[in-house]
Amino acid sequence: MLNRRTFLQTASMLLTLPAIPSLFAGLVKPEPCLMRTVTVQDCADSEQFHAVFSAENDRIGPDIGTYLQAIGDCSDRVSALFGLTRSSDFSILSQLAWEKGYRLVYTGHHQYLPSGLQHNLQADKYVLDFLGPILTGMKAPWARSIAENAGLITSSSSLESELEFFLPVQAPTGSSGYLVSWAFVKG
Amino acid sequence: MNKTLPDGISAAEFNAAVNELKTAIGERWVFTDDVTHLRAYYDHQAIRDPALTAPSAAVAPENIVGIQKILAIARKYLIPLWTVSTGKNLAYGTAAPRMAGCIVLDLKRMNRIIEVNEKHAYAVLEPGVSYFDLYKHLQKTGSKLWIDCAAPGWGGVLGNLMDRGVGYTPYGEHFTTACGMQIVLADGTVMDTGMGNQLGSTTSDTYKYGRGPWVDGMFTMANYGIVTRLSIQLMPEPPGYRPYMVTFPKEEDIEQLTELLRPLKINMVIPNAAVTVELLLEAAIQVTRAQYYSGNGAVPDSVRKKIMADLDIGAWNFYGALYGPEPIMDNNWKLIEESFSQIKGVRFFFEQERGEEIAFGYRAKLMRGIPNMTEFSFLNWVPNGAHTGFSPMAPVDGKTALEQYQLARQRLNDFGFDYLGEFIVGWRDMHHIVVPVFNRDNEEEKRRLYEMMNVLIDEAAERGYGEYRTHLDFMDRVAGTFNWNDNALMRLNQRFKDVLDPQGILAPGKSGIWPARMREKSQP
Repeated sequence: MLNRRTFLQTASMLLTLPAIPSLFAGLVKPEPCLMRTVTVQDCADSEQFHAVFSAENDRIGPDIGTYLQAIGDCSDRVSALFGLTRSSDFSILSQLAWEKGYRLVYTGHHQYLPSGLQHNLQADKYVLDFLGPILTGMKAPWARSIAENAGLITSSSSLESELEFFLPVQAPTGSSGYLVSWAFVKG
Repeated sequence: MNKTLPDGISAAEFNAAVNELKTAIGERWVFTDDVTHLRAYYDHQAIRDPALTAPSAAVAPENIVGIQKILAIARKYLIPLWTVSTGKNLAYGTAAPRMAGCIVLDLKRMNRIIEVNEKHAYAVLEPGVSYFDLYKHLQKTGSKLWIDCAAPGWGGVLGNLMDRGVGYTPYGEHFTTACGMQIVLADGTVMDTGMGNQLGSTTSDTYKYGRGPWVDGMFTMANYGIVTRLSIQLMPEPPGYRPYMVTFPKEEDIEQLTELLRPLKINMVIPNAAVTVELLLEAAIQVTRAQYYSGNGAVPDSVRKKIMADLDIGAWNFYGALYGPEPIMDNNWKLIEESFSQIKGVRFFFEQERGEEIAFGYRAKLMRGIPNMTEFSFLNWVPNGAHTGFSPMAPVDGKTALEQYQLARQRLNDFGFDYLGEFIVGWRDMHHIVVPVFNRDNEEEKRRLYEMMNVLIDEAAERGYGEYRTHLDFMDRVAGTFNWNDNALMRLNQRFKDVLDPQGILAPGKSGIWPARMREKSQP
């Protein structure tokens, strides 16, 4: 079970950076886009995600409200929002992203059950066809794999396809238990 | 996805209306794209099919002239509008309209803080001003005034007040702090209420009632006009502030603690809108259900005890605050401590003991008017969590509090949900806010919740418990429970509606009030 204090210190990381090159960047999205990423602090999986973007991390506390203005203010110049957060944070950020003219092109729901980890991904078929084998191959922590494929994921055009799979892995110490990865792109 | 259109309006008529809106307001501020901007006006925590409350478009004017132009277009095409200030209350429908196809009239661009008066402690503002906006403005200008905010800091000051929401400081009963409004009627007429109706009035923001009938109340939670300006009273910063928490070990303690609370509230020993939070809502800010229980149905008592012990919280957790000079706070605390100490197992905590904890921390901020959004953490109680609100009123009476709690908890548990709830305590009333949390993508769970809500609304009404506010899906049902003397009050509301908005273009179905042209048709 999570240490209470650790779980409470859920937070978000925010940075502005060019999207890292995906393994498939040359195939799907040649131009780097300006992206903001959001993660949850002190959550083991989110730390894996976070590590990929660790250059300019601005970590904040559990209050998602302290974070909204920063996202809203950057919407004119940022073409993609990409994150791994708690479900509640995703709810709030979605509302803001839509308001600012973004569209949701990818979601991944990741739930630790007693017997393993359930993934449910939605994106366009092209993206899921690439991403599925990477995640099921388990060559890297799943959250890290998602982060490393930011370019691929943000090239998705819709939520038309769904991919669900189960992996017999245990929750790492300090996991939030249920996380949502997501991507919004402008226009 | 088929484009949602206003009822009875062809695609060609709709497109013509949208083009006129773009000409009047500017293309940038008319939203019709269902996957980007317009998606923000859907109810993403809907229990039923979100299509039932899907908007056809949204439009965001900058000023009253823009509103008048929009009203003219709405009257011309008979397209209903659904007005929101910021549209951020996730429990009651967010910015979505009651009826599919409405165009959402979003007043977010009208976000000017027109005046802050330090001498008389009030502010005059437009509908798009959020709690965050007003708080930041006061901080930036070095004001010595506090705001009172609802738990979601992104909410609108005006919108929350118009829906008779509450906060947590001594100014927590929001509508009582209103002092005059400017309102645009459906025909485009602009009027000021109260003293503001006298040209050059010197008391428009300090004396609320004006002369003759006082009409402000009838524009709240209603659909008779569009409020475009509001004067609200603000609380002067007190010389001292001391938040505290009192825990009570047993569920049944809600009865005695509420009895003890009543004289403390009525005599203003506890001046703020305090709150008595039940175990699982308090816990859900901090932990998830899955950390403790993986079975179906409500969390069993053995698990509840474990949560209480782990988090060092009570079956009920009372949050209040002391305000004023130190001697007054010390004196009031003696009374409060002596009173609650009559309950066995009671424990008292101050900021120095629990201030670092997330639940105490955000409550302490709310009770001194610092907006935040930490409370949304409770949505993580279940995976992919969403919530709605069942919100009956209660007097500050122990027996009623216990009965309401037992009724709500029993029904939620019967239908497989945990009871998460709290009583927000006013001077003589309590808002009992029950927030069932459900998985937003689980259709079977949502069907169960919808059925449960309907059962609960009816059962509560049979016992004399009426809801102060409800989600879009239950507006008609709740309105139907306020039906004394052959629905005399609703018939009056309808007469107002017919006179003030004869074409029925303003917020059809708000609070169960439908315009004449839609009244006979059963609305989903």
